Amino acid sequence: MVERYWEALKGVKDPEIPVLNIVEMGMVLGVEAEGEKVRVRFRPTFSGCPAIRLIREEIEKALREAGAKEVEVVEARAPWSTEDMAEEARRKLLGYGVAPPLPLPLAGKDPPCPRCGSQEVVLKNTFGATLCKMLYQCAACGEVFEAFKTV
Amino acid sequence: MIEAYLKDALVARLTAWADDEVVLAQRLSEWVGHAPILEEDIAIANLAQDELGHAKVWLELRQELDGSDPDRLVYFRDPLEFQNAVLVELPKGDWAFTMVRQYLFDAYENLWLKEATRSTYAPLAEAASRILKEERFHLKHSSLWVERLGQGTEESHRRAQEALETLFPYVRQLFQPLPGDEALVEARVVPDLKALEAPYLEEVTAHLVRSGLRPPEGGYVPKSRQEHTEYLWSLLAEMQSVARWDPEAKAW
Repeated sequence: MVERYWEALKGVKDPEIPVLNIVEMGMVLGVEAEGEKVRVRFRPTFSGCPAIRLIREEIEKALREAGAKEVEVVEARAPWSTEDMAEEARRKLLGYGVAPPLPLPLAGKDPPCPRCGSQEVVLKNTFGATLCKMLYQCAACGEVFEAFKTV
Repeated sequence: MIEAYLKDALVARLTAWADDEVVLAQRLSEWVGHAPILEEDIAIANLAQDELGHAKVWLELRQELDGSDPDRLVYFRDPLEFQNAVLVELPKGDWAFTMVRQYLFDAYENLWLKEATRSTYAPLAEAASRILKEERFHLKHSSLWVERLGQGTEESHRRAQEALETLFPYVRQLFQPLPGDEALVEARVVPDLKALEAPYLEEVTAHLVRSGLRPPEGGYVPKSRQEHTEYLWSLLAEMQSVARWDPEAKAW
């Protein structure tokens, strides 16, 4: 039964990066089921994330559709890290044109251009259209791209 | 769990941190749509949103202790009940004033949050590590701006130096202990802010001097967090207007 709920949660997207679901983002910490009652522990990526309320609603909706009668969503305070993202999520980000986060020890480094792979990139802005991204430009191909912050 | 005798002190501490974040977020948000270039408009909106998120984290910690409602605290307290430091309520001024203040505040946050990750109160330690990750980006951004302004043109240097003259004395208020802090520090629940003042002054002075700026000596330091300037009144009047006008208004 719990597997079924995990599957349902894979249908909940991160509204700011709609190619990723909250499971592969590493946002879901645990799912417990007791009869028709389901308890989900999840954590936001960034604490000021305006999508939290929407994600909570989507979680509840998905679980009800999967058969849960009662849903409890608990927000954990444990820090989220880009290390918690699944490999698949990184690939999807790249395909979406967003440079995926680097391994944690390389946090201060610049990511290669997601279009041409060049390392010659220039940071344009430590902040982007959403809290989790930065803005870069590739010096080789000219592409302006977003990079997921490594945290 | 927190020992009963520390509860009130921790509630006061969390409120002071949260109020700093809320008031600063409001000041930052005044730039949205008015920042000098588009990239900075985006960046400052991010900064404001982050600070607001951090206020939420502190107020939810408080809620676990005393059952208070974070929204009520933010939108329905009067100016004299706010516990923010004067530094964050001063009007946004010009771009140099905003960025120099941001740098001074970010450096302080990075310093004490790092210490707070070792708090014996697990929820606080977790919250601090979460917020610290985000604050590192703030400091990177604002410290670069201080350098750019300090070493840029004659005008940018003059404006940054003027901002520093006004702001620097107020920074020291951030390190003043609240009446209940001593017990919290002893129980290693919160870091000893007073002990962080000297390393802080050393760190920021080095960066300011590298950027061609001179931190002023002396100046007036507010005596307590009950002390406010007239600017807090108008800031809160605007920030709280919708909630007070229609308390039943729902989030959209």
